[in-house]
Formats: sequence, structure tokens, C-alpha cells
Amino acid sequence: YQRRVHGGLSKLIERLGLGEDSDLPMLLLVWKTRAQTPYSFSLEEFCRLGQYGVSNIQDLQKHLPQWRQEAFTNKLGCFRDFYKASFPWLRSSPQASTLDCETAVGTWQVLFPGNKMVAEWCTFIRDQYKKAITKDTWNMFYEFVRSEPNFLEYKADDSWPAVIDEFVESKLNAMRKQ
Amino acid sequence: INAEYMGLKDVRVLERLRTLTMKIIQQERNGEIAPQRLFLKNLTKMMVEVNKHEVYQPCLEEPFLKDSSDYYRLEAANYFAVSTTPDYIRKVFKRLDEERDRVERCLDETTKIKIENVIKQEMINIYVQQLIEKENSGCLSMLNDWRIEELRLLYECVKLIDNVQAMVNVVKDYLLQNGLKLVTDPEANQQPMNIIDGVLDLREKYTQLLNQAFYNHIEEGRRHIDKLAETSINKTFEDIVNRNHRFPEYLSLYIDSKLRKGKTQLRDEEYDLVFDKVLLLFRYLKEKDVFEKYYKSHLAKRLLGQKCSSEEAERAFIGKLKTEYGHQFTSKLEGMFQDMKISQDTMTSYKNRMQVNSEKTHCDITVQVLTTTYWPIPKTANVKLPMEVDETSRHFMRYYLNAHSGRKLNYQLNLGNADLRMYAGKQYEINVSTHQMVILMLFNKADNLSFTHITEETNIQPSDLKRALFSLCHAPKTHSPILLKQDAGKEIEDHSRFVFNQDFKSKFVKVKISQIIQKETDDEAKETRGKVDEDRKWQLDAVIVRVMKSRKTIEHSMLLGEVMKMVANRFTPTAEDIKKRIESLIEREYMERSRDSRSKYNYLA
Repeated sequence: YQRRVHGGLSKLIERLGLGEDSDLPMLLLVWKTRAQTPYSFSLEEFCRLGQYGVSNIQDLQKHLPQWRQEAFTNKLGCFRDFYKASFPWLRSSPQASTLDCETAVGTWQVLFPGNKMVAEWCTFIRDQYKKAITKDTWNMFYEFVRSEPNFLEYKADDSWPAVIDEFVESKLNAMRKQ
Repeated sequence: INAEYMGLKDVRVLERLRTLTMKIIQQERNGEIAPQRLFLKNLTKMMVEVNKHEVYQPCLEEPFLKDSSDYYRLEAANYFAVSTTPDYIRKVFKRLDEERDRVERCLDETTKIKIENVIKQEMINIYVQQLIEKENSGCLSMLNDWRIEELRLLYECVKLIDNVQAMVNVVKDYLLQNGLKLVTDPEANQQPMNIIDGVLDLREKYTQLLNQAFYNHIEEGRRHIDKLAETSINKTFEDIVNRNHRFPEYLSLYIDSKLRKGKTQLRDEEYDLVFDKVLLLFRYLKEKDVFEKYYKSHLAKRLLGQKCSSEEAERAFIGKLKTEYGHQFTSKLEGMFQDMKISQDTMTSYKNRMQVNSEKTHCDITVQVLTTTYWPIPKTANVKLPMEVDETSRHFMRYYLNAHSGRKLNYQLNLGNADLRMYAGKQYEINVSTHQMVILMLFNKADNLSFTHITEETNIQPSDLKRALFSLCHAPKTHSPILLKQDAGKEIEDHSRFVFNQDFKSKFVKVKISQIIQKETDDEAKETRGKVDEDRKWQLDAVIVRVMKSRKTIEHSMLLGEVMKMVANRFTPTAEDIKKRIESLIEREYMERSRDSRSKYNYLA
């Protein structure tokens, strides 16, 4: 059965002493608990932390930086796993199958700090595309980033989702205007 | 023999031989008769006998070819400057014949092809592009005046040097230019029939061109049309036909005018020819599904208005479509004919029942009951019927629903017609569309009505209303208009006012207001296109799922290829179109991306 974490998310964040930068730690938590319901953790999901040796808040605080390290080294597809796991939790509602635009953009900015192309992508999604992000788009975007694409050699009839085609086209148009 | 051999290799001997030989040949080329022709023949014979390779070729053939090359280079330059293209080509062919003849008479057989190549190089190869482009006599000029014989000459010429492409380029650009002008002309678009007639004429012209200019080997009396030319011309027609997005609609209107009863209908023996011509253009269409939509709609109007000039002809045309494109195209059309037959039976039973029960309705009604899936999508409109008509229609509805429980009936008031008795000086019987009937009945209670008022009273959609009023205000040769539009100008505006024409006169007592099938307004065309796009989406979905089901797993590019092949008969989706459907199907979990490769998909049962 599902039971919300007592006191709600904001309380948890408070107790962990996270303040403004709670996004990334929350996603790490989502990753390790495999939480499915947006913006909440069931008791069962939370108890999965036990296998990592986490039984109280202090343990959690200790593990968060370790998990962060683990996610971002990309060993054995760790980052991919972490990235994909966040989708269900970020959805706009338990019945929704997509992420709303703002949430997706915000999360990409957190997960790919300093990445120029991702920043341009976020601008594109927010200002031009403006539609909700499907699971396929979410997952494929990571693969796209990872492939380090060459925009001049990009082919639109390749298997990337249509929104990525639109992004590349808008980028090429901008480049031509320069 | 050795000594003679050695003697021949002596330079001075060779020089004198060369000079002598060329003098003989020069004389002949200049049209004089050279008395030493026989000498040349014997010389050749001797040299070939001794040693073709060591003696004939270097001593006689090579200098001959070299000197001929110089000779023809000069002649080409001189002649090209002062001749038209056809004249030049005729001269070249004449020279070729002469040289072939000379070789046969006085030189060795193996020299023939070599001297031919010399002429081809010096006289044709170098000049081919200029020949084609020559002002006033080149390819363009020939096409402008449609000088087929000259075009034939030019083709033979370029075929000789295997550069048919150079000529085809000019021909297809010319065709494209003319064709595009025809189909994109804004005035012509007001008269779609003219566009179709124009393109058909163009097609016939170019068939003639291919048959009479671009052919080879007359084998067993048959000509082989040049493949490159044929393919290029077909491709150009494809470009022309698809440049105008309303072409499919126009083509359907064209067929409609031929199959519909009336002035433009054909005699039985003419149908086959017309159908084949239409199919020619139909094959070029990239958006055959748009044609199908309009064809269905026009066919429906013909059937329901009892306007088919020949049911046999209708079926014949559908049969031709079926042969080429499979039964998917035509299965629903058969259903339409079936409905018509069944409706006849239904009406008979209905009328019998009324007689038996001594029932009577206000009006005499005939109903055609249509099965939704076969006919074009119905229009929903709550047109306000006059009381008598309303009650009559309900009477039939009750009868039908009693006889077929579980069914639903909706009257399609945008279709159908009505017979009215009209008094204007004397009694007339007029036949009008349902909408027009509703409009005219209003004039029983009022003399003068505005467009806006009519809209409100009848609930007819403005675009339909305009069409209905337009033909009520129209006066063909046989009768005056039924209504008069009081404000000036051709266009019907909101403030336009209408009165009944008290001075109505007609040649005949029975008057039929013809419902001209016009091309759709731009807005309606947009709507139709919207429906076509919707249809395409689910068609793509169905095809993708079918492919996935049979392949279980497939590469992205292969999937695109398969899907495009399967719908090619109806329309040409872009890779983008297909991708969007793939993503939608992934979202709906009909398929997934493979774990091993993002370019592979798996079917999800």
C-alpha cells in the first residue's frame, strides 16, 4: 500500500537541510527509491533505501553526495539510469503521461549545467516548442546529448524524435542568419 | 616481298602516297569525280594483304584519319557559322553516308567506324550544345513552332554521340515551363475544366513528340521509344500535375462533367478513351487519396441527384481504378451502388404499406437510405424545414425505424431535391435543391428578404446559402431567374435583398434548376484537406502497426521504406510524417525502441 512520507516533501527537504538546491538531491532520492508517483514517495519505495544502509535522516544526508558522485561519473550507464528514472516522478499528475514544459526545462538545466547545447535546447523548448514532453522525447534527448551530434551532418529522416529535428532545424536557421 | 615492304616504309614514298591519297579523297569530298579511285582501292587491298596492322594502318589509315580530322574540323567551323541547326545536321549525316560509302568502296572495312568517330567528334561532339542552343533554329525554336521533323533530326544527331540528355534537358524544361504556367495561372484556376483539358492536350502533344521524334530501331514495324526521354517527360508531368494542390479535385470535377447527365455527357463509345486519358493523369498524382475523397463526394451527388448518365460507364471507370490500384480503392464505392438499389426496394414497401393502410402525408416523398461508412462524411445541419416537409419526413422515419430497430437515421438536407408548384402568370413545376425549396417557401409569407434574414429563418450555412441563391438568381436561355437580387454587383453580401420574380417566364412548364457542381471555396478546400490529413494519420498508424506485427523488430530506415511503399498508391508521406506517428505509437505502447539500438523498434503485442 502507498502512504505518503509523513509531513510531506517540504518537511523532508527541510530536515535534510537542503534549502534552495533541493532539485538534484530529490532526483537522486527518486533514483534510489524508484519512486513512480509524482512528487511523492510511498512507504514501500522509501523503505528500499534500506538496501543502501540508510535507516535515518543522517544516513540519508551522508549518502546523497555519494550518490551524486555515482550518477555523474557515467560508469556502466549510471547517469542514463538516473536520468530515465526521474521521468515518472516529474509528471504533472499520476494520470499524466507527459512532463509539462517548464518542469522538463528546469530539470534539464539542473542535470546538464554548463552544457551549451542543452541550454539552447531549453530555450527552444520553452519559447518555440512549448508542448508537453513525452517519455520517448525525454529518454531520447539524453541519447542525443550523449551522441555529440554534428548539426551540419544531421539527417532528419534518422530515428531521432521529430522535436529534435525541429530543434536542429531552428539551430541551423539561426546559424545561417549569422 | 620484304624489299617492297621496306620500300613502303621509306618516308618519301609514304609522303607521296599520303598526298596522292588525300588529293583523291579531297576531290570526291568536294563533289568532283576522282579518276584515280580505283587506284586507292587496289592500294588498300595490297597493303591489307601484306600486313594490315604494320602497313595499312600506319601508312594509309592513320594519315587518312588525321587529315580527315583536320578537314572536317575546318568544314564544321565554316558550315556551323552559316547554317541552321537542321541544315547543319543534314550535312553531317550526308558526310557520314559519303564516308561510309567511300570505306566500302576503297578502304578497309575496319576503317569505317574510325572515320565515323572522326566526324562525330569534329562535327557533332564539339558543337552539340551550340547546335541545341542556336538562336532561331535550335531546339527551343523547334519546340516553339513544333517542327517535329527537325526535332527528329536533332534526336538522331544526339543519339549518335550518346548524348540524348543534352536535348532532353531542353525539352523537359520547356514542357515544365508551359505546364506550370497552365496549372498555376490564377485565372485558369477559376475554370478547372480548362486546366484539365490543357494538361491532357499537353500530354497528347508530348506523346506525339515521343512517337515521332524520340524513337529507335523500327523493328517489325514497331518503334522503341527512347527510354530517357520518356522517363524525363513522365517525371516532368508528375511535377506539373502535383504543383497545383487542387489538381486532384479538378480531375474529379472533370470526370464528373463527363459522367453527369447533361450537356457535357459522352456517348457510350467515347467513354473508354476519356477514361484512359484521365487515368494517365491520375497515375501522376502524388495525392491519390485526395482525388478519392472528391471522387466519392461527386459520385454521391451524381447518384443521389439521379444524374448518372450511364451506370455502366460509372462501373467501368471504377473497374479501371480497381485494376490498377486494388480493391481498397473501390470497395466502398460498390457499397454506394448497393444502397441505391436497396433504397428503391425500401420505397416500394413504404408506398405499398401506405396504400394498404390508406395513409397520406402532406407531401410525396422519396428517400434514399445511405449506409454511413460507404458515403462521404455527412454534414450535420439543423435546417429549418417547412411544416409540411417536416411532418412527411418524420412519417417515413417512423416507418423505417420500426422496420429496422437499432438503427439511426439522419436526414442529409444538403442533398436531395424537391418539386414545387409555382405560380407566376401561369402554373409551373420547378425542381430545386432541398435548400432552395426551404428558401423559396419563405417567399410565400414575405415579398422581400435579406440574406441575413434568410440565414436566420432557414439555418442554412452561409456558403451553402450563397450557392443556392446564386443559381436561383441565374437565368439560362430557357427561363428567367426565379429570384431577383436587388442590389448591384455579382457578389452576394449580407445586406443583399431578394424578391420573387413576378415576371418569371419559361420556355417549358417543367423547370429544372440545375445544381452546378462548382469547385469548393478556398475555405472548404482547406477543410477537406484537413480531413484528408486526419485520414492519413490513422492510415499511417495502421500500416506501421501491420509492418511491426509481421516483422516483430525492424530498423528505422527499413520501417520508413516499408511504410512509404505501402501507402505510395495513395499519398507520399514525408519521413517526418511517419516519425510523428511512430512516436505516437510508442506513446500508446504499440511499439518500443529496442534496448540495443535507438534505431531499432520492437513490436509490443
